[in-house]
Amino acid sequence: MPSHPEIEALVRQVASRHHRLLAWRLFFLTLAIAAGLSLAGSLAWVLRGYAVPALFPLVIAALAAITGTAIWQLRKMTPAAAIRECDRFFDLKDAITSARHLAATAPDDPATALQWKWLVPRLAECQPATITAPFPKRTAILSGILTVAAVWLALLPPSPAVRAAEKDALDTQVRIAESKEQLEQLIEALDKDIVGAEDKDALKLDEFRKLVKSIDEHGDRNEAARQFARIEQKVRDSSRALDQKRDEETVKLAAAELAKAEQTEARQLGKKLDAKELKEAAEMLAKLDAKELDAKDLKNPATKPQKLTEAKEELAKMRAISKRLAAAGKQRQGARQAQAGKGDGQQGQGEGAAGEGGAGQGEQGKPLEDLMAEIDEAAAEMEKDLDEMEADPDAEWSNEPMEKANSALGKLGKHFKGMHAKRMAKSKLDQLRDGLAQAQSFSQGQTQTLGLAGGKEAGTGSSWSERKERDDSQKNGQLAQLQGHHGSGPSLSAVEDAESGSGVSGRRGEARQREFARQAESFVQRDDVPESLKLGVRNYFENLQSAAPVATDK
Amino acid sequence: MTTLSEPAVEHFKDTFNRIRGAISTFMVGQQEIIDDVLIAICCGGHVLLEGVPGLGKTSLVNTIAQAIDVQFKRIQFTPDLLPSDVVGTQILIDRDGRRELEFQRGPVFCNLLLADEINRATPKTQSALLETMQEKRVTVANHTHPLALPFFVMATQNPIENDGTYPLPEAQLDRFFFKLQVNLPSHDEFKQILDRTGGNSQPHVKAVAHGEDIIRMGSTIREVPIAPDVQDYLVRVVRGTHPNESAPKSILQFVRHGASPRAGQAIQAAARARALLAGRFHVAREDIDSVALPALRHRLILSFEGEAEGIKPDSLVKDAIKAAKA
Repeated sequence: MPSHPEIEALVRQVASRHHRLLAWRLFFLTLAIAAGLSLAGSLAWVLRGYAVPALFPLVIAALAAITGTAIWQLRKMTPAAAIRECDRFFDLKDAITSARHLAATAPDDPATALQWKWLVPRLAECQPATITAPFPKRTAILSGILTVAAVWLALLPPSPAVRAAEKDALDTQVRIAESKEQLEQLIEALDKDIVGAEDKDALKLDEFRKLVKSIDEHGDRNEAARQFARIEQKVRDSSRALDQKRDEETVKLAAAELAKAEQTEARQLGKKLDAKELKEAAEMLAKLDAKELDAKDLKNPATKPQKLTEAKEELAKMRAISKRLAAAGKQRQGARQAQAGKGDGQQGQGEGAAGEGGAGQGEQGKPLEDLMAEIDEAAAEMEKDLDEMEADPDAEWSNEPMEKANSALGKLGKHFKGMHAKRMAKSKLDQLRDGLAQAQSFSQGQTQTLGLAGGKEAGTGSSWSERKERDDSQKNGQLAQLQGHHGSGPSLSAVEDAESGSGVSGRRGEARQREFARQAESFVQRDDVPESLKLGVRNYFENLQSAAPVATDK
Repeated sequence: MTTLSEPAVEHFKDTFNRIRGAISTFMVGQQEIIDDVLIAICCGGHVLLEGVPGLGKTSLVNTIAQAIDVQFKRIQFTPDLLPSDVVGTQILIDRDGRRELEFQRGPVFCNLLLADEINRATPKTQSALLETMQEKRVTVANHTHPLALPFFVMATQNPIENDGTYPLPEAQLDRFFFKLQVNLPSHDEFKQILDRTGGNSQPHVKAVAHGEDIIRMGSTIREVPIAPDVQDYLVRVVRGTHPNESAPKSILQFVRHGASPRAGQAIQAAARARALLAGRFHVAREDIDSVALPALRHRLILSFEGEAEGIKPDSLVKDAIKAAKA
C-alpha cells in the first residue's frame, strides 16, 4: 500500500519500541515461570534427599527460552495494530489509518489533500521515544528471587543416605559385573574339564552361559539377587534331572555282593563299583566278554576239550560276577516291592525321588537290576550249552547265548558309562550352583571376596561327606541359622539315614522335613526379618531340600 | 472523486455555528441536544425528543425553525387524530358546476414538522408518517405528492405518562435518525432560564440560515472520507447489538432484535458531521462512539427479560461499543 514515508517511518518506530518493551516484559515473566517450575521440580528431588539432575534446570531453561521467544513472535505487533497504536498513543483520531487509506485509494482527491494537510503538523509532534512502559518491577523481583532459589536447590548435594545408597548401587553394579565375569570363567573352566560329548550334552553349559551373559548389571540389590536366584533355580532343576539315586543304590548293592565273591575279578569289580569308578567298572565288564567258539574246533575231537575248557574258565569268571550282580538286582527288586507295600504316600515320595528324570532306567528303558538279571540268564544259558556240548559229542554249538551275554554285558557297561557321565555333570552343576550362591552373596555385599576362578580344580579335592549336609549358609553369607524350638517337634539329633533300606526318607525324616518347612515358612513370613536374610534362609532350605546324596569323588 | 473543499467545510462549520448561536439566544444549556438535533437536520434525518414535560422540547424545535427560516408546522398528536389530519385528504369541490375531488394538503407539507406528543396518536395515525419520513412524499388516492426539501420531523414524547399513549411501532422508530433524551437543566442553567423567560421581553431568534444551506451542509457531510478500518469498527458496533454468538453477554440476555443497517447509515452520516465539527477531514472511532448512543438506543428491541429487568438500552449500546473495541 503506497503511503507517506513519514507515516511508515513512524509506524515502524512505534512497532519496534513496542517489541522491545514486550520482550522485556516477557523475559521477566518467562524467567519467573521457568524459575518457579525449576524450583517445584527440584523440590521433588531435594525433599527425597537426591541432588537435582544437572539436565533438569537446563531443559527448563531451554524450554522457557523457546516458549518465550515463540510467545514474543506471536504477540509482536502486526502493521495494522501498530497503526492503531500510533493513532491511539498520539491521539491522532484514526488520522494515520485514514491517511494511508486515502493515499492508497484516492491520492488525487481533494479530501486526501485536506486530510494530509491536517495531519502533517500533528505528525511532526509525534515522538516514538515518548512511548514508555513501566519497568515490570514486581515480576523482575519475583523472577530474581525464584531464580536464586532454583539455582540454590539445583546446587544442593545429595543427602548422606542417598550418597551411601548411590555408592552401594555402584558397588553392587561392580560386584555383579565381577560375579558375572567370574561365573563366565567358571563355566569356561567346567567346559574345559569335560571331554566327552555325552557329558557336554548332559551338562548344557551353553544354556547357562547365555543366562549368565544375560545378567543385567545395575545397582538394585534385590533385582541382582532375583537374577542370580533364577539362574540358580535352573541349575538346580538341571541338577535334579541328572539325579540317579536308584541306580547308584543298585550299584552299591552290587558292590557289596561282589565283595563277597571268591574270584579276584569279581572283587575288583566290586571295589570299583564301591568306589563309584563306574567308567573303570565298565571297562572291566568289557573284558569279561566271552570269545566266540569256532564250530570246526568243536567238531574236531582233538581241539574240542581244550576249547571247551577255555570257554568254561572264561564263563566261570563271567558267571561269578553275573550271579552276584543278579543277586544284587534281586535284592533291589525286593526292596522296591517292599517299599511299594508301605503305602501310597510313601510310595509316591520314594518313587518320585528314585525315578527323577528317568535316571533309574537302563538301556532301552530297562532298570539296572533287569540288565543284571539278563546277564546272569544269558551266562546260565551259555553254561548249559557248554555242559551239553561236553556231555554230547554230537550236540550242535550255537553262539547265540554267548552273543546274548556279551550284549547284556555291553549294555551294562554302557549304562555304567552313562551313570558316570551324569555323575560328572551333576558334580559340575553343583559346582556351578555353589558358584552362583557365592556370586549372589557377593553381589549383596555379604562377602567381600569372590574366588570362583582359581583355587581347587573343579571336581577335585573335595572332602565333603555324602551324609553331611552342605553348609551353603556359610557360602551365601547367611550366618544366622534356624535353630528350631527346643523341646518340641522331632528331635534334631535324629538323623535320617538316607541311604539305608529303600533309599527314601522314612516317616521320621518326613516329619522332620515338614517341621523344617513349617519353621522356614514362618520365618520368611515374619515382617521384622530383613529381605536379604529371608532370601538367604530360603536359599538355605531350598538347597537342603534339593541336596541329594552325592558320591564322594576321591 | 469527491468535491470536499475547504470553502464547503468552512460553510458547514460557519452555518452550523451560526444556527447554534441563534438557538442559544433563546435556549439555555442543552448544547449537546442542540448539536445532535442540528447534526440530524444536516444529515436529513428525523429526531425523536424524549423528556418529561417542561424541559423545552417544543421550544427547541420552534427555535430551530426560526433560526433556519424554513416552513414550520406543528401537529399536536391526540388519540382522535386521523391520518388525513396529518397527510391531508381529498375534498369534493364545486368548480364551474362540476364536482371534483381535490387534494387538500395536510400539515406534513412543510420543511420542519413538529409532531408533538407523537405517542398519543393511534398507531394508524402514527403510521401515516412512515412514507413521509422515509421517502419524503405523500400518497393519497393513488396520487403521490412530493414534499419540499429539506424535510424533517421533530417528534416529542413523554416517557413517564403511559395512560392513553400508544408506543411507536418499530418501523417508525427505526425511521428516526436520533432519539435524544432531554434531561433536567443544571442549577445555573435553571436560573438562566428563569431570568430569560420571566420578563416582559421575549428573546427574538433571527433566521441565520435557509433550507438551501441545510441541503449544502448535508452534501458536504457525505463527502467526508471514512477509512475501511473505521467502517469495520462501525459495522462491529451495529452488529454487536444483535444477539448472536459473538455478542456480549448482556446483549444475548436482554436484546431480542438489534439495530438495522439504517442505524449504520445514520451513525456514519452523523460521525462524518462530528468529524467536520471537530475540524477533521476523516472519520475517527471517537466520532462513531459519540453518535452511537442516540442512533442506536431506540433501535434495540428488548427481550421479555430485558423489559422485566428494566434494562436501559444505553447500557446495552455501551456494551456493544466495548465489545467492538476489544
